Amino acid sequence: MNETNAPDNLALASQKLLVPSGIDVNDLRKTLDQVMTHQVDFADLYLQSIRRESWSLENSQVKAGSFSVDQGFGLRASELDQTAFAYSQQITRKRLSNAAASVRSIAGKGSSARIGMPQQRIITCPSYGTHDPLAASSAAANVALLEQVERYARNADPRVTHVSATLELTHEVIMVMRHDGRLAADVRPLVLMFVRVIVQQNGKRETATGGLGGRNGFWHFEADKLPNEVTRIVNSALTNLEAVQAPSGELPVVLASGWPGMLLHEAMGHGFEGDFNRMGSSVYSSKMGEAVAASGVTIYDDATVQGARGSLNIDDEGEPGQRTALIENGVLRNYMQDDLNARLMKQRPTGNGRRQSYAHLPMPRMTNTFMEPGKYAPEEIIASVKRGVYLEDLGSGEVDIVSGQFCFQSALAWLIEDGKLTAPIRGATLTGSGPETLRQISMVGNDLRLDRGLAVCGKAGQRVPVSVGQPTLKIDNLLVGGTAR
Amino acid sequence: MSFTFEQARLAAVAEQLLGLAKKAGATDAKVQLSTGQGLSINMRQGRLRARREEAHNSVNLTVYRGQCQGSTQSTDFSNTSLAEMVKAACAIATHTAADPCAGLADAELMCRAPQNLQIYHPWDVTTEQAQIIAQRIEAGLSDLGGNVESDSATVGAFQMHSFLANSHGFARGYAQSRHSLGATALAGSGNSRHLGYWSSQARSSELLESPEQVGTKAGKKALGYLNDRPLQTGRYRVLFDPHMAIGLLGDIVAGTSGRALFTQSSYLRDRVGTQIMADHLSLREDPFVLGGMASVPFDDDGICGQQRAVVKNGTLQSYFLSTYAGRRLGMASTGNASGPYNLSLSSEHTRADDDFNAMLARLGDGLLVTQLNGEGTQLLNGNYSRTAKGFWVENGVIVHPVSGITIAGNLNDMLCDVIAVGSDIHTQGSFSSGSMLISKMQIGGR
Repeated sequence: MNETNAPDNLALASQKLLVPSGIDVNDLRKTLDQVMTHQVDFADLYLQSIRRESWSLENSQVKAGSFSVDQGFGLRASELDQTAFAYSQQITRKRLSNAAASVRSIAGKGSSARIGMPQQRIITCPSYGTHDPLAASSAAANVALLEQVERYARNADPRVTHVSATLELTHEVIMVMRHDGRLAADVRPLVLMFVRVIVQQNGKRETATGGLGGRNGFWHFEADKLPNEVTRIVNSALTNLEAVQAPSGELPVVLASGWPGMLLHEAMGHGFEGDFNRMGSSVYSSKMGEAVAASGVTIYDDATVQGARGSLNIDDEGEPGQRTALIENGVLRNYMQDDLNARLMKQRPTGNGRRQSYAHLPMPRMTNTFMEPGKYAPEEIIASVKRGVYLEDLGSGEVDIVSGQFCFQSALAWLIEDGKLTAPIRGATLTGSGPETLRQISMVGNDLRLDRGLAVCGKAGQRVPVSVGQPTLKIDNLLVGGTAR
Repeated sequence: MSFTFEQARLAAVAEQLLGLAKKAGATDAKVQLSTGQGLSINMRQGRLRARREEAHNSVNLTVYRGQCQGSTQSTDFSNTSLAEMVKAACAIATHTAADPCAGLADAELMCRAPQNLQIYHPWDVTTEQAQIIAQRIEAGLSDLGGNVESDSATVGAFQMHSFLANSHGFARGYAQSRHSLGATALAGSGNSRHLGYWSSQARSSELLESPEQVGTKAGKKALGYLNDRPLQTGRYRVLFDPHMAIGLLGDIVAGTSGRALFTQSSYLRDRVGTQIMADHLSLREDPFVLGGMASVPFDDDGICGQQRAVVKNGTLQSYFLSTYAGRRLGMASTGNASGPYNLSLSSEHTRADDDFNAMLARLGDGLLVTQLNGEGTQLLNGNYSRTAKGFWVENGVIVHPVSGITIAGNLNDMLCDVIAVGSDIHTQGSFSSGSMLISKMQIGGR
């Protein structure tokens, strides 16, 4: 792919979002003008079209396929920290005008700041191409790929009794204009293959899930990445057949590289989002410049990783996607900001203003969040633990922002005894306090990896695609919620 | 207040789509439409953080070419969009494999006389009125003193029309409303801070709890967690408060629902007729509770639900099945294609005076669980492991709050080990339950 010749996103977005409704950029400007007849500090108009195709295989056949189109606009006006928002699924002059009349009432009549000619924001260094994964594939190819996944799983082991897989291809086009005339657009591909297998042996059944995804075209699934991933999933399920009870109590825990980086996302990532810190509800509020993690720990939120699931050329407010150091060598350096919270906190936006759709308000959200590698080999880290737990794969996780208490589920884990992995253990919840856990990172591996591209982050009812990553890590003390006495 | 589209327009769109689908070669088709409208506000300490106006439409088409199916969803009701939907769905149906279980529900099963369940009570609340209600929520909280503050007060009003039509000639719609008040309170300072939540949902705004009460309850929850102390790892008797007991009912529903069963991913597969809970427990479903949050006249297949015992004296009687899931399992639909209806758990041992304090007394020494976090229920094998918050109880009296602990067991064992259910019944969404006393579980702590 030649990424340097990205076509003009604005032209593509106009074609998709404006032309079919017979409106143009001037209508967008007029809508914002109409809002600005009141004493509003800030307004923006966001237009979006999402086309998605999804196919699923279950019980050895691709029985269901669906295609959806969702489009509309969201208009918001803010006065200081107060915001009014309206949306519609009809992108028409009438709906735009109705929305403007509604949201401007957040502020009194008065100023009539007219906006200038839109200045365009061109994406100079895209993190993904404008390819349309739906157009690049065909129904037959989608079905064939899913059937292939089933064969990989069945061929991997005869104990596989059930395979289900879902292929999702998404093409999203957005355009956003701000009250001061700034105009930006983005074209975002997203592909995902999710796989679940069930294995059975002597009446005992176990399951494992996984898959691949990213901001890429259909070719993301080519080469041997997919068979390798399916084999890994089957092996995880087979390993879990042998699992013993998980221990109960505080223990040293080693987290593998990649998806277990969810720990960082939960233990600190949400706590570094601007809104929680502006309102003082984060456990990290007013800790800027302080040592919040063990030295040697450096964590970035980076929207510019090529083809990663959380990458953004521009965020949903038109800010360029960026690489932001959250923690540098243990010290808290930056919060993640959207426009509103940056403005109120007098900080600069960091390109983290994201929204689930036109029907939702933007908030500070993570993109791809990961820890920089350290010096230890993963084997060395495991070998350093006398008795503890090695987490190879996780399920889901969550955090309580005000206390910093986070938890996540293990999906594949082992007991470590005398520096060796001795037995797989059953799924258990693991919990700790974010600030304490960050200080208890005592070894950082040299094997940084991002997750496989399946992650979804939920906040205040809004879901957005993200990515997480880390090298192998050792945490001296984490509470493991097993059933063993 | 007005909908983007009225009921008559939904019916017309449905008819148009069914006609187009037939013309395009579909042997059968089904259309689901909805149009919704609402207002929600989120206040924080007197400031209007967000006011959001809802206006949502959706149209969902499923076509069958023999036993092959394809579906499309859209938010656009224009003629061009409807024509594209039919084309796309039919194209998909030429590539999907023939599925003997696919297809509409049998015509004779269609709901003939939908009941009026009194689930539509539109609330035409203005922003100004909603703001006053949110201020009252915050007022209920500020009466509790300086150690707790409002983190958010929310007011939501939502109403929608739904319409379902299929090529059997079924074409019916209904309207429903959902309104809510919510509060999040933040108590404490420095390194010891806790959130407390409370919410009230109802079909009619008149049935919502008073705003002050919602605020006060959230505030008291948050304050209750202050000065928490660690708990030593061990096995303890456990009392789930009604909210947490409802969470367990959610797990049971997930494990007895069609998809989990036919994909072989639930430990409750093939368990009809066997004991899945203590023998004094029953779980009843009622789709027809007037004004019930989970009352609707028919499901997404056009079939009515039933008043029934899902679990009777601890024995599983039946599942939650759509038409499709039923065919996969060789069983009849239970009218649950849209999920469970109103469900209530009861124990034949419960006496009227088994209120919350009586349940604490029955717990004696042990853990009262009031919050659970993490998706720690594995339906495949019943493994249960979650993070918990609650209170340490001695001699039936709350001694101190506990947080940052884990609770683990197996769902099957937990449900069979239920000793008692309280008369302190709480209803949240589809579920009603009193607090639930369980014999010992493994608690992870210090």
